[in-house]
Amino acid sequence: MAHFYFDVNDGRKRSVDDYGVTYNTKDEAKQAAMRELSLIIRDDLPDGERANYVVTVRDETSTPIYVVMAAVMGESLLEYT
Amino acid sequence: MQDVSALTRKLRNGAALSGEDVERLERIALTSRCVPANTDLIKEHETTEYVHVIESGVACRYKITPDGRRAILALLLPGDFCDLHVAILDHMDHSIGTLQESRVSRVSRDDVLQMLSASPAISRACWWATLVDEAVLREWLVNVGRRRTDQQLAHLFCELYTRLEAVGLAENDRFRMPFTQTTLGDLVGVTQVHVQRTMTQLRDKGLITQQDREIGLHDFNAVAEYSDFDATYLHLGGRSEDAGPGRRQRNE
Repeated sequence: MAHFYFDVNDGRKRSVDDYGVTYNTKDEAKQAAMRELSLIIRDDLPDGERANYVVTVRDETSTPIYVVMAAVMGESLLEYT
Repeated sequence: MQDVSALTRKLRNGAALSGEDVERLERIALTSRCVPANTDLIKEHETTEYVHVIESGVACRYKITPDGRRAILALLLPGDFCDLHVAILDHMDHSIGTLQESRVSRVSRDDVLQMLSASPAISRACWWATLVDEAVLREWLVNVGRRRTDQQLAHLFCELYTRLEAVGLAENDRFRMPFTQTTLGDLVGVTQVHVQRTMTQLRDKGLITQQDREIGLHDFNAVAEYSDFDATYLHLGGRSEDAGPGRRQRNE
């Protein structure tokens, strides 16, 4: 069991996780980061047509150990502009 | 308001109960026993001769997915019949377990059926309770399928407050959340990380205050509007013709 912190940068705001969550293994924390990324995009569509979302996992010593990213891009195709 | 059992307080919302009806219901509550937190009252696929009533504490209906995640499908608060179904249906299609230490009464199936046939008012009140359970489930489906996590949590808090208030267990727009933050994730179908982030957002927006498990709704109407909460589905106004539509807005 170990404690992990999940910082999120959605391109507009960087939020630092002060509380953290306990997981049994590092792999569970990695999966949680991946799932968190998908939930953030589900809840919070980008303002414009481009956005980058980054979730960084820190361990108990505050050392970053894992990062997941997603880029969202929308682009009008020529014939429909 | 605390002089009668939570069961009586709850069912009074669904039908006009006579003194005799109240006595019948009070007899059920006398048999309550203490059940520790995270204990199953009945498991999926089981069949039982007993129906459970929550007198204090909280339980939930849940299912476990094959990969081990828990989905909570209903919260059972004081006064709620957990499994009136088993008086009619043969096997449970889900499990019921406590989320914190609770007082639970166990009533035999025969006693339930006898009580229902002896009193049309109790029968009507139990029918009302079952219909309200269905209405809550409909609202939760909308919650899980169509609302953002921040709205889902805000909606859940409005519902919890309103239901606890109806049985005399919450007032002044504050209530004690009867479970942990992990449970919140299982209630709205997101990770603990996401619950924590979203709770922070709700606090930052000034919609809720949180001190340990005590949740304060800063302005109930504002939280209700934010989360599209309309208390009509809890059907607490009874059917009296002058009751009008459910209280979407309060304290006006």
